[in-house]
Order: sequence, then C-alpha cells, then structure tokens
Amino acid sequence: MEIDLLIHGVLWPTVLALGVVVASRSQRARLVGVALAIAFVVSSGAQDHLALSPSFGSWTWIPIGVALAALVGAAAGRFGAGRVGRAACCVIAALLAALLLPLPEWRGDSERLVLAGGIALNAALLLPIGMHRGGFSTWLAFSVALAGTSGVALMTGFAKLAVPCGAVSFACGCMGLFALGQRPHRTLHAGIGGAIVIATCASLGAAGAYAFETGGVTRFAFVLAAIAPLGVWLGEAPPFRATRVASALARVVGVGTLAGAAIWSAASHGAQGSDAYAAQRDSNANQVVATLAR
Amino acid sequence: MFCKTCVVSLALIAPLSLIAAADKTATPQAAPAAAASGAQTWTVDDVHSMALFRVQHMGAGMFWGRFDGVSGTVTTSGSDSIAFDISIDVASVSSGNDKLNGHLKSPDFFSVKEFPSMTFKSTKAVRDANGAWDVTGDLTMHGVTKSINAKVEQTGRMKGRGGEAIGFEATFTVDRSQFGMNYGVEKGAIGKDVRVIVGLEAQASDGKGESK
Repeated sequence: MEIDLLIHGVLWPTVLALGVVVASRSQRARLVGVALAIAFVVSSGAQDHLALSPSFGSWTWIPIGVALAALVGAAAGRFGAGRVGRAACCVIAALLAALLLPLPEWRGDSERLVLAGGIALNAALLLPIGMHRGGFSTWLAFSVALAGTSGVALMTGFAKLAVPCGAVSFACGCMGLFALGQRPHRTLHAGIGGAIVIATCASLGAAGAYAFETGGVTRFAFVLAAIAPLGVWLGEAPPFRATRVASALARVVGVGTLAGAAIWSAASHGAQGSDAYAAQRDSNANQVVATLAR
Repeated sequence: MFCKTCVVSLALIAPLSLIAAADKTATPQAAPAAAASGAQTWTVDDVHSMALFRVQHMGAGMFWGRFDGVSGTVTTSGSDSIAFDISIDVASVSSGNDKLNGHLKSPDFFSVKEFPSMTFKSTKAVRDANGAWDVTGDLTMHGVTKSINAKVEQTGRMKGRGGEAIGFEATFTVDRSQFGMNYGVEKGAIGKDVRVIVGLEAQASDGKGESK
C-alpha cells in the first residue's frame, strides 16, 4: 500500500518530469519549470482523483496555481525577457497563483496579496541562482528545501499536499543527478521557469499547510518553509564563494538549516497536541453562550 | 476537467431531481408534519448526544472515532411521524489521539476549516412493524449532499426534573468516496464504507436541559 503511494505519488510524476527534460534537448532550461510543475500536478491528481472527485476542494487550486506559474515561467523563457520582463513574470506568476487560491478563512484579498508578494519576492530572489547555478549541489539544495515544505505539510496532517511537494523534491534530486551527466559543465539550469516553479511550490505549499492547519503550529514554521529555497544564497556569501566545494556545501547547509528549522518548529509546536482549533472554537462557543445568558 | 465535471453533474442532477420530486409526492408526512397540529419539537441535548463512526484500517482492524458536537431538532407528530434536522460540528471529531485528530481535520479527510459542519435533514420516515423508522434524508458532508437511509430506533422517553426527554439511536452506512473523501480508498489503507451510529437525546422544547 505504501508502495502504491510512492509509485503514483512520487516515482511516476518524477519519471514524467525527467521525460520532459530529457526530450526537450535545446529547450531544456525553458522547460525545467514545466517539468517540475507536471510532477506536482500529476502527484496531486494521484492523491485525490481530482477530475472525478465529487467535491472540488479549495486545495485543488494549489496544483492549478503551480501549473499557471509554470506556464508564465515557460513564456518568459521563450521570449527571453530582460531584467524588467523577468521581474514582471515573477509578479504575474505570483498574482495568478495566489489570487485564485480560495483558501478557507481567507475572506479578504489582503492575505492573498501578501502571499502574492511573498511568491514574487521568493521567485525574483531565486532567479539569479536558477539562471547561473545548475550543478548537483544547487538541485540538491532545492530538493532539501521542498522536502522541508513537504515535512511541514505532513506535520499539519495534510498528507495530500505533502506528497506532491515531496514529488517535486524528489524530481529536483533526480535533476541534480541528470545534471551530473551533462557535458561539458555538469549543469542543468533551472532557468526562469524552474526558479518560479520552485518558489511557487514552496510558498503555496506552506500557505496551504498554514490555511488548513488546526493543531496550533506556529506561523514561523510556515514562513521558514516558504523561504527555505533562498538558503542557496549562502553559497554566494564571500567566505564560501571562493571555492566550488565550500560554495556547494554552503548552499545545501543554508537550505537545510531553514528547512530543518521549519520542520523542527512545526513538530515542536504541533506536538503540544493542545488541539488549538477546537479550543478556539470552544472559546468562541462559550462567548456566545455567555452573551445569550445575559 | 471542468467539462467532465459538468457532464457528470448534469447526469446526476437529472435522476436526483426526479427522485426528490417522487419523495415529495410520496411522503407528505415528513417535513410538513412539523407544521401539522400536535407536532412537538425536541431540541437535541449536545451533552448527551454523539455520533460514532467506524471504518476499516489497513484492511485489518476497525477504527472508531466520534463527534461530540451534535445539535439540532427532532419533530414528532402522533405516533408514527418524525423528522430530523441534525447538525454536527466536524471540528469536534475525536479519535483519542491528538495527531490523528489533526489528520482527520485536514483536507485529507473532513477539511474542517472548509466544511465546518455536516448536516442531516430527513425527507421521509416510515415506521416498520417493530416500531423503528426507516428514515431517508439528505446528508451534507465535505461539501457534497447525498440521500441516505438510516434505521432509527426510539431508545426511551422520560419525564424528569428538567422536563421531558426522548432518545433515539440511528445507524447507517455511507460510502465516503461519494462525498469526495477519497484519501486511502484506492490504496486500501482506509475503508470506503463508514458505519455511523448516532445517539440522540433531546429535550422537549419547553424543558430545561443541560447545555455544553
């Protein structure tokens, strides 16, 4: 039974993603983002039979948001957008991904605008790395970052979201291995599309886990999970950037620290088991009873 | 995907609307009974009412859970007519394990933040020779409404200091995948059919029952 979960939720989506990358040849950097989005969407579909489900749950918009972001990223790569154009693509992808998301208890647009801003900033900061660093360590760092998002989602009990994030994490690891086989530079750049999709997966994954969470996990855990991919910038810090090995290690350590802190934070606060959502509801109910009794 | 959903929805709506129309013509004693003279309304006592559910886990044992937040009304009229309008606070789901409670409340199962309550409204009740009722009604769970049948027995009726109370026990089985709750179904990890037992104690509306 667990094997089924691995095959349909992780392995099959990863095979599809790798298939797209292998088949794309000269367009590789442009389609990496699409490939990662395919992994996310296919894995999500395997969790909930999305097309056949009688209830269209709002979490379903998360894979849709990732797919839309991937399309914007692919378009940016196709038309070779300049610096302003790339920034605009980040903003458009973020707005599409966040503003369509009908998360429960997000009644106004303010939360969605904050989320859109977060995705845009995340993607914009990942762009230089995605365009200029494509070695194994970079992909390993992305893999660790999304494993962190997956772990946080799992800590909140949202396995249907944790598996697609895990699938993209696994796909990133496989992209790293694929990069090792590339000649002459042993690199596979994530490109604009890849950077946008990785930032969107991390941000939407964290936002989805946060929106549906009922166990009192601190917001800090979700913020850390969302920004975990940015830990790759540690490899660009002056002390590490001088040597390739130090830079590669710093990249993975930077992301691993953020992702690990996110999971630890979610685990330690969630483990209190106080059932905060029920407690809050009881508190509200008591207020209503007290008001009625007056 | 949306086109497929539309086609499926249309295919479902047509026969369902016919069934609903047939129910309305065949059972005038259901909801209208409440309005009939002599009808008595009972308010569900949420302290002494609960819903238990049972589902198979990993193809092996039976896992039990419960909902404590049961509220609503029961309307009786004469000896045979009865109508239920019950609501369950889904966030009150309890398995005895906090981690598991969190998983049950997540979108993997009940998605309590999205669908905070489940409701049952009876549309038809027929009393059998043994005195129990075959109750048909609309169960809304996880954002989906389906017609279900429940066997309802009156477990007792007594006048106390707090007024008159009446008790019922309802049992029914639902296919959770029909309500869009698919987690673990295909992989066989968690059963598709969920057996539900609802224990209701209701106070006459003019009585003074306990309240949570």
